[in-house]
Amino acid sequence: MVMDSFNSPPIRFKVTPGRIFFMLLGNTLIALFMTGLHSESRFLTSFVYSQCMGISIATCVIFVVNYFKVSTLTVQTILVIAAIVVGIGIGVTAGLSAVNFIWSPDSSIWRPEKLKSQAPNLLYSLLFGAIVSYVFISVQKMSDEKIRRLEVEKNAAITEIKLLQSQMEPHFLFNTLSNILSLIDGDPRKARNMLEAFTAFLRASLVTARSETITVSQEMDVVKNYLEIFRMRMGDRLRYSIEIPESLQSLRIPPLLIQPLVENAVKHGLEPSVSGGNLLIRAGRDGDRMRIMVTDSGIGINELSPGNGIGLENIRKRLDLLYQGRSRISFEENQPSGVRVAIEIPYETK
Amino acid sequence: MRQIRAIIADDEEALRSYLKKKLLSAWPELAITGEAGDGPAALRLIADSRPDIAFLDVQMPGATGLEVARRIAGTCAVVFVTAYNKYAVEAFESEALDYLLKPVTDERIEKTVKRLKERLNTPHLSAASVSEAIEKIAFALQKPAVFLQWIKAQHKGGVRLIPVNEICYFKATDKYTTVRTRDGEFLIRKTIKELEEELEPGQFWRVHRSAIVNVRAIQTVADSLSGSCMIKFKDIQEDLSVSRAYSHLFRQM
Repeated sequence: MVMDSFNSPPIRFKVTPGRIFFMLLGNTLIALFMTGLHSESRFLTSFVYSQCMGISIATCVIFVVNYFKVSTLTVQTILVIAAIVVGIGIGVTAGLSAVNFIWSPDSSIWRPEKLKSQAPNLLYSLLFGAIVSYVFISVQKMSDEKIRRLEVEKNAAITEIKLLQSQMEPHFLFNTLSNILSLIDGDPRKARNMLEAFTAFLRASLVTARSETITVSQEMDVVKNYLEIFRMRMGDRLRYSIEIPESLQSLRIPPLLIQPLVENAVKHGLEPSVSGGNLLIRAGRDGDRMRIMVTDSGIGINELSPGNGIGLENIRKRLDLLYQGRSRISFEENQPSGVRVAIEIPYETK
Repeated sequence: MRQIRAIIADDEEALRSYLKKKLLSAWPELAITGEAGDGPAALRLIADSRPDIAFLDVQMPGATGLEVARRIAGTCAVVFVTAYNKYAVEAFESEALDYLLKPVTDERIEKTVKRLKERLNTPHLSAASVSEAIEKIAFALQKPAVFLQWIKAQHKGGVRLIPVNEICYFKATDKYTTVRTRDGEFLIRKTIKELEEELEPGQFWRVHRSAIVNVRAIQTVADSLSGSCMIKFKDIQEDLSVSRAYSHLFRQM
């Protein structure tokens, strides 16, 4: 647990009444232990001394953990050890002063022989300080990790729901169903083709939305079925071509990354255009980068075109999660009309 | 009694012929005098053939069914045909207009036909009440964007389209305005003053005489000793200073 935590993020302590109580209780237990160890010392003396020590170490450790910005847990551990040493220094001074003040206010404690007798106590303090800090930090780290894991799981679930929601967009669903319904009597063959494409699209969407990554060719299955549905609906107003080299087909990418771009191009670019237009999906490799481009010759984007409602944020978030800043997505005007979207991701053959 | 005439406008051919078939079996005396596949064609058809009823698909290329209905308000009865879900459909519930949901069912068609027959026998509804109903639908379906959604910037011989949400800040430089995103800097001709007027004021704040910041891109705002503050961004390393005149925006945050 300690080994794998060299690079894990630093922790933050939350000071709660419960934790303060446990610290005081711990101090008391240590005092009892010390009294048992040295029969000549009194419990009360040890108690006062131990509380001073404990509170002082805890304060230093909490201060260091919560107010020193560090990058990893390793650096933080070193700081905590330093804090324990400083805490002991303050604790010894405070503890001795307190004990001296309560039980023998007349004599000075700062005599050499008296200080010398503190040496074993210092060692014990270091030991206990380290153990207690370790326990507290471990508990905190475990709960931090649990929260993080739950966060990741929650994000994955939300992503899946959002993806499926975008695939089940009511306008698309009902328009496609009405088309199938309207074709059943007059053109049953076309109706069957459309139903097949629709079923394949839904199945592929369901499978891909549940995976963390899929191959380019799996994604293209979703895209092709989607476009087939629209080609049947829009007739010759929609023309499309897909140019993806064989070598890139098996590459793994996040699911439903290209499909929403195709959907945007159809929904906001081509479908609203009276004469329709072309759609081109092209992928290529450039060294260690892979570039996917979706180009349409539709009505294009003006300054007030919907920008938030096109699922961009979702795509970007998922790209960030997977590639941590090594991906790019950009929009450009296509000539003479329409939009070109380009996604760049690292070329990785996992 | 003279024959009632209707037109159907839908960009999908299969849906037009299906609706025509359903309509004729529910209302055999009805004459479908024309069909149109897009908004402008529908407008021409209505102007030329002066029908009693227009069945308009809401989403059509060129001009939506709503835009067509707006232009012809009062000249004929309008029935919208839409695939929208039930929440959006609430907007269609009105005295002045009818609507059909896709896929259309026999039951629903019969109901609509009955209503249309009654309506055509009573005096025409005022154009104003029809317009009002159309505006209600338009508002529910497509709240028009009033603030900038995209910034267009010349870039490497092309025009880059930048969604405003991805912009960290705008900064004035001699002749141009610099747009900073996490992908880099772009130059545009719009001035800070123009941008301030056109961007959504809740999301884009003027923080300096020469700078506008996207508050959603901010990581932290730190006070400096001189009384101004420094903005740190989530996605880019550089900071942006808030001039003293605007630093009150970030107090008590």
